[in-house]
Amino acid sequence: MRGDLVRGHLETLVLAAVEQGAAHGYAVIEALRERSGGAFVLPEGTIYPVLHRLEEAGLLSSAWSEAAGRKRRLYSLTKMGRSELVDQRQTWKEFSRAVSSVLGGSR
Amino acid sequence: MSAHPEVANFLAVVEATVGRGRRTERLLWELEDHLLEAIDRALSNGASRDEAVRNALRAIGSPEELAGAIAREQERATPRRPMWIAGAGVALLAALITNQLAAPNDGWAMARLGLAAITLAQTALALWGPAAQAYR
Repeated sequence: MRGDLVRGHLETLVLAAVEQGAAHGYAVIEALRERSGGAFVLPEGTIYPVLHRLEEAGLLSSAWSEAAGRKRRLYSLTKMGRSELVDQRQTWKEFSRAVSSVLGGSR
Repeated sequence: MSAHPEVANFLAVVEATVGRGRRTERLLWELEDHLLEAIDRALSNGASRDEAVRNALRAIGSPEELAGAIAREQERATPRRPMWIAGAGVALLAALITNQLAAPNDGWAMARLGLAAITLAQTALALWGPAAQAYR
């Protein structure tokens, strides 16, 4: 799938990827890949600037932990992030329904 | 320092590409953890060391792609703090001017002038100073 198409929705996708619990960047990338059936493949390192900005915006919080003897940053949804995800889901449903109505009408 | 020289080299190039700083330091920690996890998983799935390292580095993207992603995200970030300070500054200036016009000879004119000058400087810094630039 085209990178710019994925990037346009990356913020919402990342929020959804950490919805079930705290996750580090690797797990977020893995969740995006698996849950999209391999359709969302992006340079893995580019997820970190997105995570950092979502944290600055108050939608995620993060904390250092340790795993396999290494420092690891875990990200969680904040209350504001959860509310934003609910809004974005609704917006996406309405948008995709409208686009499908237009595209699906071709003969 | 990573156990894999290729990883250490990649991180050094990233640092040179995106520039040093607190955010970069955190990014480097996260990238190293990411790469080492990818390598460990590939090794446990039977890949050779060279193959595991090569695939992990390919998947994480180039330092230029990372720099591009950082620039995109900084562009999207909202300049919250400088805008908040600028807004408060404008409100305080308006209050000082109103107060001066209402009571021009109450003996507090110099104090109001001094406070207005400080507020004006703070507002200008918030709008055009280094803090405002860093949020862009």
